Amino acid sequence: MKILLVMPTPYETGRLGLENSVWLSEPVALTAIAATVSDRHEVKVLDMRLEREEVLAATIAQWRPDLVGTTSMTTDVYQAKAVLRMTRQIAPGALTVVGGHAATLQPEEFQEPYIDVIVQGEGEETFEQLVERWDAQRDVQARTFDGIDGLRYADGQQWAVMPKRSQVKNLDELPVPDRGLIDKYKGRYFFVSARGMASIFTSRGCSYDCNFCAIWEFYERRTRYLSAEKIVDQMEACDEQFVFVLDDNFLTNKKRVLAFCEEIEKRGVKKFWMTQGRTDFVADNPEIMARLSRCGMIGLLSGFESNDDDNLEALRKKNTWEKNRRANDIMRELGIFSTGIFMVRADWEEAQFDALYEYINTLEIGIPLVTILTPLPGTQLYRAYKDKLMTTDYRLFDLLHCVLPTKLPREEFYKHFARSIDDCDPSIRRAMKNVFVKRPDLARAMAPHMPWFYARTWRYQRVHRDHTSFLRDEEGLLNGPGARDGLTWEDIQYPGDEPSIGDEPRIEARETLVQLKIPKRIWADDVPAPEAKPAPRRKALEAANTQVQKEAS
Amino acid sequence: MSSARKFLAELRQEIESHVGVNHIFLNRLAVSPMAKQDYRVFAENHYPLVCAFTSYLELLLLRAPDSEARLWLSRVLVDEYGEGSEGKDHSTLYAAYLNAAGGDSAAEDAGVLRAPALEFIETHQELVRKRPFLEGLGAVGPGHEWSIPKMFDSIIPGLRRAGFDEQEIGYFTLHLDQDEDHGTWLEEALARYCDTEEAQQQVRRGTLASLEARRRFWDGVQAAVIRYRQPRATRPDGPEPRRVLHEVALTAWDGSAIGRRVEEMRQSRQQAQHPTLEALLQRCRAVG
Repeated sequence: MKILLVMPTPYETGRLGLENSVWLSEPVALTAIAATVSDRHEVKVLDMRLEREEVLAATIAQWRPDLVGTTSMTTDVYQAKAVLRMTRQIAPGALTVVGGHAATLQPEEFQEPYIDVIVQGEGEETFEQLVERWDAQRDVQARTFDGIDGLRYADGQQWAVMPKRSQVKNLDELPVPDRGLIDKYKGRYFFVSARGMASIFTSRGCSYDCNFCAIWEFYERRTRYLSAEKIVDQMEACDEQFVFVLDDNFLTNKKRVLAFCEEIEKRGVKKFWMTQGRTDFVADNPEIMARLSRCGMIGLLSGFESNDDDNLEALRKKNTWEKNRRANDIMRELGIFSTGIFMVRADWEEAQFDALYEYINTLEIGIPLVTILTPLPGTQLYRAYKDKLMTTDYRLFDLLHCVLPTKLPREEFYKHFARSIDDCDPSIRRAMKNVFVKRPDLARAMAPHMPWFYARTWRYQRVHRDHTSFLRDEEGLLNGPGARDGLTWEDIQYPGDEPSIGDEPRIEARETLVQLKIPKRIWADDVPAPEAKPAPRRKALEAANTQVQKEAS
Repeated sequence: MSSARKFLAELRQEIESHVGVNHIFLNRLAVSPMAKQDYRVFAENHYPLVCAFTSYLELLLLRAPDSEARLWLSRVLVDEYGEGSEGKDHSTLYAAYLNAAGGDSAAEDAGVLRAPALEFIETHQELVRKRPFLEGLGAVGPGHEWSIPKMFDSIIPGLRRAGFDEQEIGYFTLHLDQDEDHGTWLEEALARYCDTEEAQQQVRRGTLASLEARRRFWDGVQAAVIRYRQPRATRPDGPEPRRVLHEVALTAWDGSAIGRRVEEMRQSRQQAQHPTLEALLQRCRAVG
C-alpha cells in the first residue's frame, strides 16, 4: 500500500512567522508514525515547508497514494484541511487522515466531508492499526474502523468516536522515527546557525500545568522518557553534527538527565545538541548543567515568559524572575546559548513594553523571542477567553498577532511589539559574543552558516520590524464569524487583575514592607465565572485596593 | 461504450483530478477565512479572464467546421451574453462582484492587464487562433466547461464566509448550473468529432494546455494575494537549498535602496508594456 504523509506549511508562505526564519525542525511526528508501517508499506514524506507547492498535487496525481495523512498544530489547521480536501478531489479513493495537537484538542474542527479519520492523542499504535485495517478493506472501499482506539471516523453522516487510547507506557517500545524518509531534505533543517540539524525526541509530556500551554493536557499531565541508551543510540545514528532534542521539557528528572550524561560520557559521543527546558531546573542544578554542557549541550530554549512574578503566578508558571535571572547567569557562565520566550499582554502600555525589553537586556539571551500571550485552543486560557476573541482565524493564533482586544490602539500596540528586535539587540550581541568566547569549538562549527542565517533573518526582520506587517496580516480578519462584536480591552479580565472570588490572603508581608498584591484567582476552568458582568478593570482594582486598605488599617 | 464516449469519460476524469482544477489555492479559499480584501485581489486578477472568454468563442465560431459545432458555440455565447441571467452578460455580473469586493471595474477595464491574466488569455488566444480547431475546442470546451463547476465549488463557500451576499456572487453560482448544461451539450458535440485517435489527441492536447495555463494562473493569483498581505515577505525556499552567496546576495539586493528602485522600475516597465484588455481583444479580433 502507498502512504503519503504531508507536513503542511504553517501559513501561506510569506506571512509572518518564525518557523523557517529562526528554526526549522524535522517533521518528527510524521517520521515517528511512518516508522510503525514503513517496513511493510511504501511510505513517502513530503515536507511542504521545503517543497514547491505544486509538488503535493503532482505527487497525489501521479503516485496515487492509498492513504494521505497530515498533522496539525493550531496555526496549520487550514493548511492541513486544504491538503486533505485537495487529496479527496484528486484521488477520491485515498483514505484521508489527520492527527497531531489540533486534531486531538479540537477534533470537531476536522469533521469535514473530505476527512475520513481523525487520530487523537499519540499516533503510533493507532496509525499502525488503521493502516492494517485500511489495507484489508480498501479494495472494497469500506471505511469503518470500529475497535481501533484513539480515533474518530466518518461513518455515513455521523462521526463514530472510538474510546481513548491509553498512552504507551514505555517509550523504548516504540520504533525509532524513520529519518530515512526525509533523507532528501538532509542539511536543510536548522536552529539559528546550527544548520544541518537532526531532530529527535527523548520524552513526552510535561508535569507542569501552565494555563497558556496545552502540552500537559495533550499528554494527560504525564511525562514519559526514553532510556538513556535509546537516546544516545539515536544521537549516534544521526550523521548531523547538530541535534535538536524536541522534548517539551527535557530538564525535568534529575536521575534520567544524569543517566543520559553518563551514557554520553561512556560512549564518547561528540555532538552539539540543544533542547527545551525550564529555567528553574537550571537555576537549581548548576552542577548538572555544567555536566550537560560538557556532554555537548549548546543551547536551551526556555519560557522566561515575564519579568514580573505576579504575572508568572497568574500564568501558573510556578517559577520566578529571580530563577530566570539565576538560570541566565549559569548559562552565561557555561557558554550555553539561551533562547528565551517572553510574552507581552494585550493590556500592556508603553511602560510595560519598555520594562520587559530593559529586563531582557539585563540578561544575555541570544534569541529573545518576544511573543503575544495568546489563548491557544486546548488551553485553560482558551476556555476562559473563547467568547472574548476578536478573531477565530487560526492563522492569527501564531503568538505574533493579538487575538484579544488591546488596551493601546492596535497600531500603537504593534509598534511597541515590533521594536522588540531592535530594543533587545544589546542582549543578543552580548550573548553571541559570550558563547563564542566560551565555546570556540561551537563557534568554529557554526561560523560557516552564520552568513546564511543572518542573511535570512535580516530579510525576515525587515518584515517583523515594520508594525504595519502585523496590521496587514489581520486586515479584514478581525471581528469575523465567531468573534464577539464591539469588544474592548475593558471587557477582558487579564491575568492577575480579576477581583478575588475566593478567600485568598490579600496582603503579603515582606520584611518591613507591607506589599499589596493584586488579588487574583487562578484561571482554571473549574472555577465558576462570576455571573454578573465584571466591572471594568480599573474599577475592580480600585474596589479591591480600598478593601485591602480597610483591612490593613 | 463507443470509443468517443470512452475517451470523453476518461478526459472528464482527467480534468476533475487535474492540479489546475484542484489547486491548493482554491482549497485554501474553501477552508480558510479569507477577507474581502483578499477576494478583491483575487477578483482584479480574475476579471479579465471572464471578459475575454467570449472572444475565444467568437474566434472559434469563425473556424467551426460544421453547424453542430457552431450550434454549441452559439448556445454558450448566448448564455455568456446574458441569456439566463436577466440580460446581464457575464462580465457585467463579475464586475458587480469585483466592485462588491472593493475593486473598481471601470479602472480595471481601462488599466493594463496583470501578468497572470495576460499569460492565460494569450495562451488561449493562441489555442483558438493558431492551433487545430479541435485543440481550441478542447481548451474552451472541456478545459473550461468541465472544470469551472468544480473550481467554483471551492470558491463559493469562501465567498459566503467572507460576507458576500448571493446577488454579489451571482456570477459564480450561475456557473454551477449553467456550465453543467454547457458541459452536457458539449459532450454531445464532442462525441461526433472524437471518433479518431488524432481527433481525440487534439481535444486532449487543447484541454490540458488550458488546464496547465489555469494552474499557472492560480499560482499567480495566490502570489498576488500573499504579496498584498506582505509586500516585503521573505522569499520562499525552493526544492533546492540556496547557497550562502545566493542568500547574502538576495538580502543585499532586498535591503539596498538601489535594488528596490531597480526592481520597482523593472516591474513598472514590464507592467507598462502589458496591453489593456480592450487592446488585447481588438488585436486578437483583427488578426482573427
